[in-house]
Amino acid sequence: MRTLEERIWENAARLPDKPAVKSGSRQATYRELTRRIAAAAQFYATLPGYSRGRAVLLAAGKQLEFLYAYFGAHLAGLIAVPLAEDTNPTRLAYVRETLKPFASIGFAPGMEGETLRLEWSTFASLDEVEATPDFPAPEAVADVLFTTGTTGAPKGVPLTFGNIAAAASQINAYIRNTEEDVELLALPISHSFGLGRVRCCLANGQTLILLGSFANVKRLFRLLREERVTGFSMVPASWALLRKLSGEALADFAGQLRYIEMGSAPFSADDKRHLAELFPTTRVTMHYGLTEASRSAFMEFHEDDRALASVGRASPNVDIVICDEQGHALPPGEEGEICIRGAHVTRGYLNVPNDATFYGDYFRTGDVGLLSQDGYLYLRSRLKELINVGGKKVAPQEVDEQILKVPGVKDCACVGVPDPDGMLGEVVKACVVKEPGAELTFEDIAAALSSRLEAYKIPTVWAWIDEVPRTQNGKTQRGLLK
Amino acid sequence: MQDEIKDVIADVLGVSVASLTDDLAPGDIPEWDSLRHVMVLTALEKTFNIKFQREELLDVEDLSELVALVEEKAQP
Repeated sequence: MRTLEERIWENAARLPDKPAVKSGSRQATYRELTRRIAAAAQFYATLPGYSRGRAVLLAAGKQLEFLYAYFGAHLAGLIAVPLAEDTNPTRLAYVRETLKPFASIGFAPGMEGETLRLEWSTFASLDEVEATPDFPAPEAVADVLFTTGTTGAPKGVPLTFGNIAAAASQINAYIRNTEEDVELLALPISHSFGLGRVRCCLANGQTLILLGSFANVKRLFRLLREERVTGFSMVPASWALLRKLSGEALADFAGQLRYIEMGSAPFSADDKRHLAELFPTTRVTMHYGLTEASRSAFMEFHEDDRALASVGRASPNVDIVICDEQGHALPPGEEGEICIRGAHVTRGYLNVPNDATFYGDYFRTGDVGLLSQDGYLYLRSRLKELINVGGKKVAPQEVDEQILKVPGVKDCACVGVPDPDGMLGEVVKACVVKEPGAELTFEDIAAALSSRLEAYKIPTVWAWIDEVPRTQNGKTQRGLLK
Repeated sequence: MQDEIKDVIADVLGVSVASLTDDLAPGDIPEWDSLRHVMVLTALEKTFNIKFQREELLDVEDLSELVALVEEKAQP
């Protein structure tokens, strides 16, 4: 299978003057994209500390330079590590400790630790280079993405060039987007969903329009109109936000949009039906997947109208089985752990033995579900206690740890509760035990957290409690606090 | 009043007032993401005792337009 980089080079040979990507008033054609990627690759090789196989951290925003630096890292034999621009200092330090990267690009001053700090502007100023590079081998590691682990510490997920190319082919095969499509991307590209959209579009020779956020509805609708956008992606929280800010104005583009991809958080059967009605001729798709096994199941809200409560069926070339606790496959209708096999699946977590990660060559998702006779996957519960805030996963332990550092706090346990404003799906609720006599308000705690945690991890619902309920073994009983 | 409006926005975003240029827009900086944009709107509604309409929000692209909208709505 050809790597994504090879496909971008093929697209540049075939469609040199076609815009590959636009961001604000700037754009790059496919030819320029390849030349700037090649320039970035050469530049890395001149830096102190560079050697093949080392990692580089990228504060993934919607700059064109992110794409040059990301793909350039791949061609220079580096492991690219895209991270959210607002990644908190503790998490960033953990990533540095785990991977020992030699450079950090685009982070705020002081956040680079002992690595070489680079600015995006450096990548904009490099002279273009015309070159046909040696493309990486499919089994080499391209990216390490970090997911929220159950203990609060993130887990590194290596993805090979083969994993990435396979995922892009599987997704494009399902969604049926073509070279003619123009896609608008407002999702963060530091996460698997948004980054996956970038890969799918560029593999196909499409034009990709980058937008900072869904919040800018005026700009979003202007771009949809002016760029004649035909493809769009969102998480349920983006849809809730768009409805709050603009009603159902997105449906004015129903005749124009050929496809929509959704994912990352639960979406009710009623909501799916409603979207199908608003977009009668659009392919409205939704995936179930993980960073470790991108988009493993898919559904289309019109085609699968008899199974809207499911998360769809296995994606093209993907096997899904339900396993019991010994790793044996269960028959349809029986509940167990969802396990996935395919060329897109990670080879295992960094620094974690694979025994607990796989049953044979099936990746264990940690999610509980069942398969129906006709192959629909129904998600029942998550084994992991993660809170899903607008599609972003939060480990309650990570928030607990930071709250416990606030003077006056004796004990604490965070849980996910439905968002009272109905926007984000879930939000973080903090149940806090105060030290006797401490003068402390929830505002004080939230203020203390603001420099230590990303905004979406900061609790929005608070309660004082007398004691955190725990089992005899000391395990926090979060279910009792919801 | 412009200063008061910018104070509220800077406070919610956790950035300095000086960094709020007129053409800054939601999504331009990581601090101004969709979650915090909703918080900005709610804080402005509360502080200035106003209520945004959807049609009005569809017409706001950057900070200068948001400030102008609040000024207009908060007129006694």
